[in-house]
Amino acid sequence: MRQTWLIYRKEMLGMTRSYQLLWVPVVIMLLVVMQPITSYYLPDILAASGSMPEELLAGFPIPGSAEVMVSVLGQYSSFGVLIFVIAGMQVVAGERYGGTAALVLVRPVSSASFICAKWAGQMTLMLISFVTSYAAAWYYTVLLLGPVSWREGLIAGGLYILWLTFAISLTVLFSTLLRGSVAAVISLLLIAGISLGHSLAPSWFAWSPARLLMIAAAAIPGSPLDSVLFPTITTLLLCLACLVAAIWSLRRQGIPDLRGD
Amino acid sequence: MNINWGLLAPVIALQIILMLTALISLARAESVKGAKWIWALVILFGNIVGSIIYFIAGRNEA
Repeated sequence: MRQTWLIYRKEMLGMTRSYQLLWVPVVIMLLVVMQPITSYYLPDILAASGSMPEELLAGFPIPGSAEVMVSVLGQYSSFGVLIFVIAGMQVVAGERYGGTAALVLVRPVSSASFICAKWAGQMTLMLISFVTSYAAAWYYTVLLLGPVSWREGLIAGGLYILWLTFAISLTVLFSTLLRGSVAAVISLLLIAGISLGHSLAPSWFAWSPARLLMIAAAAIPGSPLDSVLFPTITTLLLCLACLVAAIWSLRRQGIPDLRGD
Repeated sequence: MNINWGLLAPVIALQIILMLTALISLARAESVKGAKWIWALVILFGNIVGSIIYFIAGRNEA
């Protein structure tokens, strides 16, 4: 435990020094906050572009707060995942091939605490980014477009946190198996594949982690909740499996042989 | 088109913070991929995307 805590502290220090702890939350906040603002000003923006007839503009509806919150969530599952995966792709690979892992792992540090600390670092980054940006988007939505139900909003946020946790665990695993950008590409393809599979055949993939996204999007307008239990359990098990596989793989690889490079 | 600037001020502040962070990181980096002045232009004129690209692709991490 102490070991894990020490590596975690070092990881957070590294993230502060590389400004990751600042730029990732800021970028996500910008991405997400623009959603309610552009929806609110959409008629103005269209009018300024000048190609829409007046009558059409007059009847142009400003979307409701629920619709905008759903599109806010959509930003997390597209650009949000992209940024978290790219920010996390070097998390293990960078240290293994940069040679720092060799320094850390020659000491009696177990692969388990190494991977857990790395994962916890990425999770901290994700939680900080998610909570700040979700709160900001919520604030703007309420300010501009009307109230959002507390219960549904929080449930949807929680389900998205679970999905992002899954994305991060997958990235940690592939960052252990492969080098940097290859790890990011494969993680993103897998995540995209899982969401696509679910949207093509929802009934076959009722257990899929991607179901969480659908439940969250349906929850916000206040429709009755599907059972969250099944996809939640699969997601947690898959996260655990990713971490165990990462630990096992790191232990088996040991320290990469840098003489060969 | 009347814009409520008070509403947009936090967003503009965030953009400025992002750009300044990228510039400070660039100035303090010992080496980056490619020339520093090109990255400075990318960050200054590339808006949000320029800074993101710098953070992802420009930094030389050992």
